[in-house]
Amino acid sequence: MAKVTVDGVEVEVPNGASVLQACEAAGKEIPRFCYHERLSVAGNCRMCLVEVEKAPKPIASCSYPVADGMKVFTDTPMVRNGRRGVMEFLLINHPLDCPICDQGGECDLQDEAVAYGMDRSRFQEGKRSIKDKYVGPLVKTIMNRCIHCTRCVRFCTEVAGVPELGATSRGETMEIGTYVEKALTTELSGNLIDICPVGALTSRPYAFASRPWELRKTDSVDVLDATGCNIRVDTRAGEVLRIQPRTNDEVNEEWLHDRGRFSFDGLKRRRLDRPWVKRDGKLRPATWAEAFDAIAARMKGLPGERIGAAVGDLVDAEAIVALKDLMAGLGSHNLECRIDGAAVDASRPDFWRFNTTIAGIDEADALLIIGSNPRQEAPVLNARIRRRTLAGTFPVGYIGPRGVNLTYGHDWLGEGPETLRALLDGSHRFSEALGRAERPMLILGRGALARPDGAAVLAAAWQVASRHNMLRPDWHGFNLLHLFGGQVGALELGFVAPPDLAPPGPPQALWLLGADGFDASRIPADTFVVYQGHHGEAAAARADVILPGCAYTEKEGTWVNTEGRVQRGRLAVHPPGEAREDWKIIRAASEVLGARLPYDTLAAVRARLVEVNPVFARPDRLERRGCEDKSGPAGDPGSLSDAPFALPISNYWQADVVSRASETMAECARVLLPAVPERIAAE
Amino acid sequence: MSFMLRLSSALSGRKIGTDRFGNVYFEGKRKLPVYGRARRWVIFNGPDDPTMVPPEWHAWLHHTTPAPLSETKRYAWQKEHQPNLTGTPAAYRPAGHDYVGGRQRSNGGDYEAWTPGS
Ligand code: SF4
Ligand code: FES
Repeated sequence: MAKVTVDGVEVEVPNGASVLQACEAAGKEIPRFCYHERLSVAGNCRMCLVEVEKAPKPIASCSYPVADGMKVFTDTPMVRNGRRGVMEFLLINHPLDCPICDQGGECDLQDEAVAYGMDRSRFQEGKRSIKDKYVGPLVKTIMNRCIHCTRCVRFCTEVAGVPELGATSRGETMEIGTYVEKALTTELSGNLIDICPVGALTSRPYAFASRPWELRKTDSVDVLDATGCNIRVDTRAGEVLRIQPRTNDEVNEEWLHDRGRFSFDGLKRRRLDRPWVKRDGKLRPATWAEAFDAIAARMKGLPGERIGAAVGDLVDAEAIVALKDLMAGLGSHNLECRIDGAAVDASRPDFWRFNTTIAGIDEADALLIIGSNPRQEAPVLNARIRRRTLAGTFPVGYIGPRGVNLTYGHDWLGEGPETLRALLDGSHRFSEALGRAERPMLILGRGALARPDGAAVLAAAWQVASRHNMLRPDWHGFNLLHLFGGQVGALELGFVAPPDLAPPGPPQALWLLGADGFDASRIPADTFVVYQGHHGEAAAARADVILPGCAYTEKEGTWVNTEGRVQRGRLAVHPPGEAREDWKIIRAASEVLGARLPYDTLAAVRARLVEVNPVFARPDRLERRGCEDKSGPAGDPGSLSDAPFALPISNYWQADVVSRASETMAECARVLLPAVPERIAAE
Repeated sequence: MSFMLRLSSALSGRKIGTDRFGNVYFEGKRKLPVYGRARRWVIFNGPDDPTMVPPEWHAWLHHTTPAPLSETKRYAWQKEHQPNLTGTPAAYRPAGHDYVGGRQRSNGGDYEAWTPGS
């Protein structure tokens, strides 16, 4: 530790920390453009000047290491003049287009210019002008505004792992761009907009849409992948205008993946905004009362075992628990939340959670990925794995399709379960790397379980974990990576049929709660189908009654991310038309079906959630758990087939109902799908 | 147009012309010492409302042009001048305003609803 005095305040910071960090520790704010906590230090903007005792010149604090006994001054005439000079140079070539700039109001350069800017220009020559670059459908560039901080270059290279941005030329003619015009092939490109301190990189869908002070900001959580990124939904006049990440060091740090950030325009298309009832073989608009009458007419009096219910990928826990209680009231045990057919074992949380936790990736020292492409299934989590690979020795073994680009180097072990078998008996070369590791972990993709021998894959993966010392009371290295935000919540609430109770035949009535994306023709023709959800797709078209529900920005809901972290989403806009909150719809339906649910308020539903599973009592907090019980899931590793693993998400940009309705995402898929090398030559 | 205003206009200025709305324009007889130019003013046909002045005379009134622009030369793309209607019953009101029915969608923004077969 080094003792540093900043403006008379004495602070202790670790050796090797920068002067800027010491100043922050002392509560002094240092203006900066190029420095960013989560990127490497570049030291090229020179805005962070401070004075150090006995130093002849002001120093750039972000790239200057502290020394014991150093005396730093952050507000002397020398510092102020230095910063004013830097600001004047930066503004020489910066256009004065704040009135038409989307960054206006949240621009670092604007803010610092208030403190250090001159009120006139001494620059008589012509300003530099740079052609705007095309870097994809999401990020808009106005390169005249670039101040060459190179944050974007460092983000692409270090965090996103796609070194596609860079600088050409030098000095006054320096330009940031992709060298050869192309769209950035990263799932994290939206973060460039956040880290660019000026308006050079802005959001294309949000261009000229609004000013930051006009927006109503609602803290919420992203459900379009299972990472559970913390988000802020910005709305104006009942319309979602943009979605931005919130900092949560344990989950998403300060990043957000592109589908979560840009697919919100799908919330305005293909919406179910009124009840529909099928009459004479055709769906017709109806009132809520007519819809409930139709449900009562067909479902009341049916024997419980002939009624089934399935929940989809994005559903909140409140609605799931209400539907579960309704089905219990009707005497039905035919529940299913694994509509993708994944053989997730619902008997113990160890089998379905990301037990190491996302923050725990930083502590792991070897990783085995089975049948998953975390880059597409959880891009933010993948960025954390990438950072871990950069931090030191971290062997990554990969079982899955050959040549997947994970953005970090990995050891391709094989394509299918035969590699698992070799790892099981310890004869595989990667067994040695895992054996050497102190804290090995494995990530099993949910997609690897969605196959006929899924249960065997799960059991085999568990045994691989057990064999390689991943299951210890002080370290849990077994992780299941889910795909969407509602999947874990349904498992935590036990929305599955008891394994020993097989239904006596095809269901006569089926309640689909947001369950879509499966082959609707599998439903028998004479089954009465109730579809409750927010977007119309194949399952809605098949339904006999449609009940319009809310999307994730339109309700107070609870979601559980892949780690088992309970997080709350909040109402940012009201649902369209006559749509209602999902648990309320089920509560109302329970009344007409004669199985009245005992809760009338959100608080009462949440109390019921806690009753069903106590984890819901502690939102946002997650306890790291070791593995106390090493007994494995049901399933026989011996019955593994030889079929290679297929990845569940082939089109990252259109993987869920919201993004499939989004025009921005459709454009991304059009531009980027052929360009993303799904299978590049093996490294 | 009060009598006093007409009298003082006739004494200190000379009439330059009348626009198509009946507003009468005057220019002072002598130059103002500070500006080195004569004062220009208008007597409105009706209540005093500066937005009544059409663009041709607006330019002259504000010393942008030495003489009023032609009121007869019209292009196809030119729209007729309209005074500001704010505060009058003819003012613009967006759809959903209380005075034009007041029926607003409860959720505000636009959306595209799903229909079977879409
Ligand atoms: S585009 Fe933005 S982030 Fe990139 S170098 Fe320029 S100012 Fe910095
Ligand atoms: S922040 Fe220190 S040089 Fe840019």
